[in-house]
Amino acid sequence: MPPERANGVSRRDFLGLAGAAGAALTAAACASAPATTASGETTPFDHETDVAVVGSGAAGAIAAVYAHERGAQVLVLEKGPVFGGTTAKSGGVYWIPNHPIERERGLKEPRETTLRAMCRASYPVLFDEKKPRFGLPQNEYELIETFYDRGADAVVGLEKMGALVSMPADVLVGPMPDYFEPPDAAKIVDRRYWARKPDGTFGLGDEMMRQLKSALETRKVPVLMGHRAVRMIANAKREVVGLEARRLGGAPVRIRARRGVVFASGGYTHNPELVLNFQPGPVFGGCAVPTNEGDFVAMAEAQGAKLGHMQSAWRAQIVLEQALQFSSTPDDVFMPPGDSMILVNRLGVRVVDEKANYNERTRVHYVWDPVRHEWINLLLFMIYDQRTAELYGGRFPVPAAGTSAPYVISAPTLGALGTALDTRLGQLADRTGGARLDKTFAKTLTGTVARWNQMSARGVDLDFQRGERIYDRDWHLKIWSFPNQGTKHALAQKNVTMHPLSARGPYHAIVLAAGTLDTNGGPVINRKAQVLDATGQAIPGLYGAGNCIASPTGPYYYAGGGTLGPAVTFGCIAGEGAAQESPKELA
Amino acid sequence: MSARSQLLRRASRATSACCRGTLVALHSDGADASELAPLCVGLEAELDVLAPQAARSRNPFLSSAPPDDPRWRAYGGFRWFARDDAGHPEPASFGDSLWQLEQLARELHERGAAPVYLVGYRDGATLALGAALAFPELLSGVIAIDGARPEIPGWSERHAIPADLPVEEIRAGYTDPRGAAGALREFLERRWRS
Repeated sequence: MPPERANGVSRRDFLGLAGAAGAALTAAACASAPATTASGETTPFDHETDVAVVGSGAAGAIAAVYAHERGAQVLVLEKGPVFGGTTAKSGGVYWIPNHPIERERGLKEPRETTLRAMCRASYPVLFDEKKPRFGLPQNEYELIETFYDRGADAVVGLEKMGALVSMPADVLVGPMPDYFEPPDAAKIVDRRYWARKPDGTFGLGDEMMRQLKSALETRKVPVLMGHRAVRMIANAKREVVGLEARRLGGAPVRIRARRGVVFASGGYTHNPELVLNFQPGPVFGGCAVPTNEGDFVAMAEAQGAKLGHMQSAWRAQIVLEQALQFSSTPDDVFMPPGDSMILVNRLGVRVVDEKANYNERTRVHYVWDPVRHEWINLLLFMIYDQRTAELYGGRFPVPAAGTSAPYVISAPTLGALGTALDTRLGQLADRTGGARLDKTFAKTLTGTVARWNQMSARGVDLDFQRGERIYDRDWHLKIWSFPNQGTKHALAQKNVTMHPLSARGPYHAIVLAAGTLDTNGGPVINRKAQVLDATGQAIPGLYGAGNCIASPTGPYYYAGGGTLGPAVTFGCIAGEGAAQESPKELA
Repeated sequence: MSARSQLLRRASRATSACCRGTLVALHSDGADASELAPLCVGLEAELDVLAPQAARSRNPFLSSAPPDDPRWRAYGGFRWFARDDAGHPEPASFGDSLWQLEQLARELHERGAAPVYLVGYRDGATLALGAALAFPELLSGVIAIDGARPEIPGWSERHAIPADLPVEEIRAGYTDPRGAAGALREFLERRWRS
């Protein structure tokens, strides 16, 4: 037996250092401080600036660059110890419509055509092309329209300033389809861009943030690391005129922002209370950095802000056992790899096109069974055979050849796999509401696999149309699930995403649950990136961009980069807007 | 409640009956579980060699692409933790990796695979030294190749490596960790003699 430990688990020491200990602190600070303050004048400020930006991911860094470009003195606060937020660990792709490169390549899609597709994708029930604004409410339409009209300017502007050099993201494996793939799409239009490294090759999120960080350094914009914003300071006219932050050790830091404050502080994936109150069902974690605890929500509420899309998130599945140990997962399961692979729920039935895009696919976890009184798809089990293990090993979460992973459950037969899976679920039950396999699981799974094998032989998924969409095939084969060379297995012929499961074991299972890239609800902004109050009026001096605000494209994820595209665009608008505000009095 | 490590790993088992424990080999930043296999060649006769892989992909889109895949031109491999501007390990990712490693060491004790030795290269060495600070009681020796002790303000100054834990830090600037194979073997043999 291992010796006893005196001090508990080492990681807990670190989470405090990383700033996660601040949950109680935020609540106290926000609750105790009404917006208007006369004390602001009496206590000296530690820093004075024109524009304060909270958060150093893409939206924040770009807001800071643009605010500086418009002549403002700028200060950036970052809660974590590492610059770049979730962007720095992401793929760093930004989806931007109507970029000059797109036009140079001969794509002359009319503005209205793209806007129509965006509006339809974002709000399918409201959408009506005969109505003004395609049936969308004024603000929702204007945000999408602004994203279309200003996104390319934001990207080109960064390039002109030497702050971020972009290149089309299709250099890797050719053009990739958008996630909404309108039925009338004539050809694949790839609107994804990412950073170009100085040597001409492409860079991902950390290259994007390296360039933006360097741009801030060149412009001598200070970045205060380890500073968590806890309270806004407003004057008697309810204009936001500054911020109070806390440093890691708890020391308060007061910042005077003469012209405005821009929040770009990320979503609330790692705030269990907000997740409980606003998400449509359980969220076990996600790849957002652990400092994304939705700090902006309570602070903005204290200023009377209107909240929007709070139930929404950029969704992806995650490996349950990773998330149970640390909610900030190293990676999400963007697409379960493999062809001889299916996802089933605890009854043993398939419930979704396994190759559908992650944001849409993950929503299937939120199906409530009114008879059994449970989230029937709370957990989904990725079942695959040795073919997928060999041909697609190394594509997360399937381990590469010669390696094993503790979250993979293996057994010689499907029956034994069910038994082993249920045993594992028993070990996790204290954190999953007691989720176990149904007693009919083994029998039902046999039938599910038999049907899958029949359909795979014909290459047609009669149940969920797997592989019919270009997205399913292209993203499967080129990005998420590209096959290993030199195995004995040939690619599936009739439908590249479908192959029968072998009649012989071993078989493997991985437990998947609902997660996020990050949430994307929060205070609502208008087309100028100003945060709105409950009556729809802009709160003077307060701007927002990125995942901390109500997503300008609604809950819909247009394509790879559908997260960062709006962040880049509204980060630019917020930075420019705040810089051009007139200075505000403290009193 | 299970508290097993979730790290993916590569294992080679000691064949002889006289297994002297487990050597856990921690790869460098941007590499993967296979990196230190050449360093450990020959040791498998006496020890189980277990090479865990950091969970954090340097390229979240393209985990574990084959080494010759052009997709690796941008990024490759895995990392245990991020670093801040001052070069200090970022606490959340460092702490998570350290915690996973601690669970792995406990697992090895529980299944009778102790004593547990750690060898690390570069960031893997920094993690191994972090382990020597955080849970020395689970370890019987640490050899750190080209890695500095982790400096995490607020944490590292409160911990010290106990004098009875053998730790060897090699700072020879190896560009290939195989160059340290002799030193690793000598280190282990000294442990076995004592």
